[in-house]
Amino acid sequence: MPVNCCVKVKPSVKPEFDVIIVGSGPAGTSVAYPLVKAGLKVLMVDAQASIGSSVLPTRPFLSARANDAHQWKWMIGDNFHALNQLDAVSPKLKTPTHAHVFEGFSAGNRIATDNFIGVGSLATGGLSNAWGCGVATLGASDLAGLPIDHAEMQASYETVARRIGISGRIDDDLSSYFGLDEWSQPPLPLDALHQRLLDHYARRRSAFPEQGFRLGRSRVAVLSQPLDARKACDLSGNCLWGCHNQALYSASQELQKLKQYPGFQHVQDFLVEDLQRQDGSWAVTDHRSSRRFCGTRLLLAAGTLASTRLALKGLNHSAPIPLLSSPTAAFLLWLPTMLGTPRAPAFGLGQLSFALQLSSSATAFGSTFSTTGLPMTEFVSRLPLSKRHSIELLKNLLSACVVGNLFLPGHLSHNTAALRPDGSLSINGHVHPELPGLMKTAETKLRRIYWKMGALLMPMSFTVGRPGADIHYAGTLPMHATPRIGQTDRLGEVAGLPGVHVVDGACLPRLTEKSHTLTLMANADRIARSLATTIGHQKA
Amino acid sequence: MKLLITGATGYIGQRLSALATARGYEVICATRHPGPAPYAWLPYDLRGPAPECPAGTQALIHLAADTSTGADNDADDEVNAALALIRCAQQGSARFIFISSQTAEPTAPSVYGRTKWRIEQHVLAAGGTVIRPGQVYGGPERGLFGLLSGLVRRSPFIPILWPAPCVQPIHVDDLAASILAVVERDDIRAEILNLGAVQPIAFDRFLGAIAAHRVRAVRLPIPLPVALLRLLRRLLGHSLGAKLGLERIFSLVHLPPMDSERSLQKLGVQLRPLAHGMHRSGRGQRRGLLQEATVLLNYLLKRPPQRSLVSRYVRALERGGKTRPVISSRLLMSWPILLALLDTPGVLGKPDGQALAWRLQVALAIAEASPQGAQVFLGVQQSRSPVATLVALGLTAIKALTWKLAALLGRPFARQLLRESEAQREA
Repeated sequence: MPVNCCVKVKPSVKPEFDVIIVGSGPAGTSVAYPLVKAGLKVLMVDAQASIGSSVLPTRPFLSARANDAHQWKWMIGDNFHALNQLDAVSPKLKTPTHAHVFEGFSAGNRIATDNFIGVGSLATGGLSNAWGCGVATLGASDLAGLPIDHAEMQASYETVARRIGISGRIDDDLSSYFGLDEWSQPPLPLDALHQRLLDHYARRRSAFPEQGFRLGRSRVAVLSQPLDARKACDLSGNCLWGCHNQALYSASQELQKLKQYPGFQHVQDFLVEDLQRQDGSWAVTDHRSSRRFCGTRLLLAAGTLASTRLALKGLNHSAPIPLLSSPTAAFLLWLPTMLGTPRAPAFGLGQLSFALQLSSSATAFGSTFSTTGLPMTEFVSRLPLSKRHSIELLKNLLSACVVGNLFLPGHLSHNTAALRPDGSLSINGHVHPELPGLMKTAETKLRRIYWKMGALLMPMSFTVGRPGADIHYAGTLPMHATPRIGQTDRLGEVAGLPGVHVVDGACLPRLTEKSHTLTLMANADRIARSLATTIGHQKA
Repeated sequence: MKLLITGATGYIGQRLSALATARGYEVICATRHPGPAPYAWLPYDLRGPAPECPAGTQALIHLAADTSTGADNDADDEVNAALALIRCAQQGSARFIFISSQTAEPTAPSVYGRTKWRIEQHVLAAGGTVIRPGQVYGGPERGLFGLLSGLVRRSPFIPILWPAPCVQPIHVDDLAASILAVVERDDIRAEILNLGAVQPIAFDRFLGAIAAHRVRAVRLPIPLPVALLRLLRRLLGHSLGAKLGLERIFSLVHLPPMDSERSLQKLGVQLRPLAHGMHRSGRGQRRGLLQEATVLLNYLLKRPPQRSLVSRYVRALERGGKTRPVISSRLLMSWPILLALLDTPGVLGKPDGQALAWRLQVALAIAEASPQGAQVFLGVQQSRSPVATLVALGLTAIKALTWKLAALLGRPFARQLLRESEAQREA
């Protein structure tokens, strides 16, 4: 088209990019692949300033603990990071190696919380730098009534699963629940305690289905076989502190691969504070450096909380909207017959998982973990004994214990998020009135079931987490076939903001009890495939 | 910013040079021998001519003094040397700061005091600043402080002079900081600043502080009438008396109290407590924290903690701005297990127990993150029979319950332990 064919009031600047992706976590990187593969010009921005210099354990956990005089540098941190986070809900939030992952998120993205644990990341790779690696697919029944095509989702699940590397393929009672085995690597070895639990379960297998209980291997985004430059898990037990093999998936591992596509560009230390509309395209500005980029479409993948604020601000929508999170609890299991088991190298994330039907509408999902790679300080403070005696007790007890967690579906949360006049996002945490009863049921059922497997759910150990402690956030701007303001269409495009798509957890209309990371990645992939075609047509 | 310092290698000069360098000054030592590495050197001897003032020198700080003899003609040389230095400063348009003495008096009993007074007059006339420090102490055992520390270390007695002379102590680092404060203040000219503790203390209490906090030994106080010393001087004669340090003692006896409050206020300097300053670190609080660390870590680890853990605990606290110990009971220091009486929700949950609760958490994290802690927390990585383990668990449970009961019964005593710590802190 000749440039001078028509008179324009203002010279139009052609956007530099077809797509700007805000955020480089699981959603951001997943949405990037189909776009760069289609030859589009894609800019990815994230707000990582510097990752500092964190020390990783250089040898397997047990050997490092016994011999490394500098272990405090990765356990506490040169700057005593862990001691400033003594009240944090998860040991991950205290680990100095992860300090840069969580740092500055709430301030940078202006998130204020009340009775809610609001965690996010400015780092390249986002929260996946410190996640539990739990993965699962949503089945056709989970997607029922949603504007998401099951077949499209399946294709995206496969693409993402093969790309990130998943282990746990085995024919067990959770195979269909996870729906991942087709694309997975074999499972990682179990430690002695989990093997014992699984043996007991197998022996009395017929007794469990009527309880609504199914046990199986955890499916995790951790390699049991090498993939690309990443090595397989060698059971070092440093999962919490930092894996030197890169066996644990982190979206930050994708950047090298994405940069090989000529249309891809990655800019760090760029904090998007708001979105500006400009001649039918969108611009983002980093106020600290006054850098500015312009793109035809804007994909928000900054994490549910941050993306929600950006979209609401763009809409100037201040009415409260629901925010889904998975109510969570933790517990300790003791296997009395395993007393005196020596500490042995073990995988530090979920080894066995369970699904437990609690009511017609609520299923609980959880996993159990070895206690070896965890700081014992976490347990000492919870015992009703003096610390000196707690240490002595746990020294003999913990090697015969596993810790478990549990998640319930998001409809049992009752949180709200609202844009304040000053542009910050205010989050209020509440739970559904049914939740305390369901948690009680879960505790009773689990105690009975695990007792049949030879494990005692320790009294007083079942602890219900505060709203948001799960860090599974979703559903603020749900996808809808005919979206209203405050909703998004089936491609995450925000109603009222044409060209702006929400592609992370914020657009998932439903949060089940299952880990939702893989689902939001697959959904991002699904959206990007459609967009690549649409934009391709538009350009042509 | 250059500072020309005479006597820069002396007791005060050394600390002043170090502090000035740390604050970004370029220190030039005007001394007989070159100073240590980072400082520039300008050869200077009190008996020789004044040096050329280097361009851009902000202040000339005159610390050098001849303390060796007591002859009056030497004193003239010293006054002349000071005059030459004043001229040198004027040529370089540098400020002149003279470190005098509390003993400076036209009619002082010692030549030292009279000489200082004569120099002061010239300094004031030239618009310079005079600093009269009280009894300087702390840091390395040098100068008069070195002499006294040596005496206390060697002698089993502390003389209680009668009538009791009083001193106004100032830590050498506080003095150095005050001198730099003068350098940084343009409005202080042609005046005398008295620097020392506002409240004079008896000389034997000062010696007692050296014994208790520096030498850490018990010394028997012995009364010593000044009249007896006078007799001794008469018997020995002046010069021998001076050699034995009697002169210095007499100058103490006649020391007029000085008003230091206004000078300290003017400079905005706060002097550290004597007990803190006497410690080798110069910070008694740090020692308190080290002791607290030892108690807490020993309590958790059931054995004396490695030194590295102790200092790590202290650094963690200091980084958090917490410089005061909350545990300083002597009983706890001897029997750290008594902390089990305090380590209960009944004590830690109360407002006055929260500081201890937090510190226990810090100690816990630091204790665990070490090879020593791994032994205690993870145990040996060997298989043990379930029965033996069960017995061990039972024993622990019995111990824990016993202590819980003890804590319940001994609650008044436990509160006493905390309160004792508080009382010691205030003292």
